[in-house]
Amino acid sequence: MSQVKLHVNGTTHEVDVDPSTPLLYVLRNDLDLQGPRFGCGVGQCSVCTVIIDGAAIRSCITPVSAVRGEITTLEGLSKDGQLHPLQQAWIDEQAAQCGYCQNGQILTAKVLLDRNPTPSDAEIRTAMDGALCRCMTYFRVQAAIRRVVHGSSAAGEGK
Amino acid sequence: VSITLRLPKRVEEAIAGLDASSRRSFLKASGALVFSLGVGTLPGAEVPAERPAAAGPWPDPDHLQLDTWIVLHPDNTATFFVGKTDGGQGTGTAFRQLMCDELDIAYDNTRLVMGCTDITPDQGGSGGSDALERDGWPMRRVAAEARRVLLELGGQHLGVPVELLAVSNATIAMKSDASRKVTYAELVGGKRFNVALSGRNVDATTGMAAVKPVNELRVVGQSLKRYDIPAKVDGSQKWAVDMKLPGMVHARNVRPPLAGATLQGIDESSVADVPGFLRVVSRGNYVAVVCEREEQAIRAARQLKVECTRPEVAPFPASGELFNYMRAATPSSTSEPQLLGDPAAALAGAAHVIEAEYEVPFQGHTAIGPAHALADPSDGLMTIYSNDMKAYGLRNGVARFLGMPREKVRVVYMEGPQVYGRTAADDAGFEAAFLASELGRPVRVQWSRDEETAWDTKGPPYVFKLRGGLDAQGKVVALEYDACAADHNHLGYNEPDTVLIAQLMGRRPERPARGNAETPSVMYAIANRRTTTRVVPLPMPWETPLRTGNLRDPNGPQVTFAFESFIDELAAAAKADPVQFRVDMLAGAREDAVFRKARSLAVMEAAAKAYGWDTRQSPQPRSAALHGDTLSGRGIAYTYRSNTVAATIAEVEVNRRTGRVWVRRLVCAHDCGLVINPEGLRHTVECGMLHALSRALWEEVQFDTEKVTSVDWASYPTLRHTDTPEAIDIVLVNGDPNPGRPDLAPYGAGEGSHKPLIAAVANAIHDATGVRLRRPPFRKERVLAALEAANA
Repeated sequence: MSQVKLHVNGTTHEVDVDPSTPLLYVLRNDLDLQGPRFGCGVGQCSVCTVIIDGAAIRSCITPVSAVRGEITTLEGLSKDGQLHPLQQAWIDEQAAQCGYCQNGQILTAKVLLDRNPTPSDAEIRTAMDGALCRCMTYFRVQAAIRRVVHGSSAAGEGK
Repeated sequence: VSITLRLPKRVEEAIAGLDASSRRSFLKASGALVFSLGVGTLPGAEVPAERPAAAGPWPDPDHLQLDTWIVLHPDNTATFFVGKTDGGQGTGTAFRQLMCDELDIAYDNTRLVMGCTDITPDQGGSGGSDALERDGWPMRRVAAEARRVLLELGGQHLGVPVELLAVSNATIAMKSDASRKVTYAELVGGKRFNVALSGRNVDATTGMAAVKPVNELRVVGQSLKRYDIPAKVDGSQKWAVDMKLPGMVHARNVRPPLAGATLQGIDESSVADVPGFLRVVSRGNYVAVVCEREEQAIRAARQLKVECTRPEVAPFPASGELFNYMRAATPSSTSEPQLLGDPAAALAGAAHVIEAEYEVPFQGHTAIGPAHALADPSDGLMTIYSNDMKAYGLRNGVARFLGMPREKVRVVYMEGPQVYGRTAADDAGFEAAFLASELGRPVRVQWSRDEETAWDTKGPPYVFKLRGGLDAQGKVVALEYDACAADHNHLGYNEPDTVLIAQLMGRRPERPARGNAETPSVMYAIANRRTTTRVVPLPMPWETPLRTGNLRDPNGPQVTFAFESFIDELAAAAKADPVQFRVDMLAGAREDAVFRKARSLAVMEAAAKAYGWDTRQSPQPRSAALHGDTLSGRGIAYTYRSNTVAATIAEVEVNRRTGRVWVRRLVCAHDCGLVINPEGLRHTVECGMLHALSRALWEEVQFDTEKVTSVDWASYPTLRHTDTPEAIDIVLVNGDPNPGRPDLAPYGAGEGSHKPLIAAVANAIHDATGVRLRRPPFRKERVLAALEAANA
């Protein structure tokens, strides 16, 4: 065990854990965050995604000791009680079925839009490809992203 | 006992927004639900002393008491309690809509609690897409009864006959003088109804009031947004995976390294160096490790050394040999052949006879979040926090498994990853309860990805053989259907002697379940038919990762793939348009009690119209299909699932250099009767199709003769964003042959669109390429090989 300092959603935490512990378990079990969830443990599905310094990171395969920089989780997306536009678009499009994977969908989309605010449909598909959903909400998720990009969810631009 | 600590978060959320006094009233009322206090008390009587809702034991909530279903609060809001769960299709929102309409209360002034065995009536949880078709009825009737009772009380309060009163949003007023009014809360808020209901079982629960005619429903039919989505996108939702309790420890199962292996020994010293290690628990071939922290349990499970011996006989053939094995295997059960007319004679006299075989592999649930549960053994009771869709079955099963009285066990249903049938959530609930009882403290069990993918229950594989005869005019005169499923020992839900832990412990029923091989669900009129089905066993029925259990429409996608592919083959042989060919066969069908013939014709027509279907035979000429390296085509398939009817058209692009299939567009015409929430329905229909598209393009459980080798998303690929169609059109046909009639019933929607999709894709691939693929998944290697073999 050793002391590890983490900056999460604007707050600094110090936890006493085995430094090889995947970040996911520290966020969930020590910091009581619920956004990142366990999906595969091998970095394949994105359910555990967090954003660190602008990059989508799979927290299930990231040792806590390797983390540098500010961590943003799903809980950290809204500011001053205002939902992030992506979160609002998710509600407007009703983009979830069970919703378990939507953490990965939303955070992967945020990283995409932070880097490229006007992606084409093809770019959306490619960027989102690693975010898996077993309820198959992909069509609605893409519509929600387009809603943020274009102000409407209509498909077909920039294919 | 702290009430707030013990109440599930969702129940807390359900009462959030109320002030402290009304909240206490809620707790009083919900306590009263559980402990039937009122004997001979009048409606509206004060609730006796406060009792915590969560303290056990927990007798079954009495479904014949109105108070079990509906609690009115002093702020004129209501909480509904129903014995269902929501797998993500928004059924919770639909339940509220139904009940709001009957109670006459605004949707926003209501909350819903689902699937907690101690405070919601046992409606069995979810399954079979029957949420609205079956379970919505008692909800409607009890809400109507509550309105009736309130109107009577309101009449007494205002001193006028009920006939002179009207209700609007939980306020009763005189029709002639709206200023003379009384609210529901003033009459019953924070108090009990004390109204008995009748009905021989929970599904038949009713009061004296009739439900409203459909044309008077106002909340029903609106596309209200799902109440559960906001918390799922801002991270505030508390899921079953988030549930934590003081003193909770973490467990991981250690599965047999080879199927059917017998445990010989465990070297506990192999995990002695794992910090936080608490115990290895083993019974028979079941092994689990328990540690203080989650990452410690993961490490201990990986590190634990176990010694096993191989089974004497290979538990199953390798996946590459499965279908040959199934063809040759001695059936464990065979159905009586169903015969109509004289198919042998009709085939002998047919102008063309077509024959084809189809295969469908094992496919899995493989939930995005592996199975999990938390069990709390405090106070000699057992509470299981689980996303299992059948909370009551889990409660009953665990009670029997542990030998505890039923009322000492409860299941608190919480949100979880998708539950399309008999998933490993059942297994994890039993494991958590067993381990919690062994350790005497709360234990959380979490399956790993490889465990979920390899050991979760699977949809049964099938081999089909079909023969059909056409007369000289291209009309189908005979059809023979033979289906064989490797579905021996098909698992039920939450059975204490078939859940995985019971199997591994050696606790088994006397004989395995018979399993099933299904027949097609179509309305076609074919005069001469022979239908045969059989189930074959794999060599090892128990302790196997190739366990079959219900997976979304358990046999439908397989059967409909084969049957509707074959209908397309007949249409092609008849040089007929695939839609017209089907319409002609439907035209001669007899109508049934739920108008499935008329509704089948209606969805077929609506799908063709929405797609812009041009009448022609398949495959389409190469000159029209080919653009660059891409061959394009369209295909239709149709079926019904229970009383719901669906026709689906897929438009595909097949890359003839790579073999990649992209379904560019999907159209589904869907008729499930009365539509409660159109937008919620559309989304469910859409995702049901895409789930089946995943099964069409990607999903196949692979195994060698010792173990399942599909263990993650690389070895068990699933549909992805890049596979998604660019257009999906859904037509809600609502094809009542008598539109506007007052009694149109709602039918299920969780599986109807899932069922015909694989066939529609196969038919579209044939239309595009001229090549018939008779075995999903249509992965590019297989497609390319088929194209090359056909020189396409």
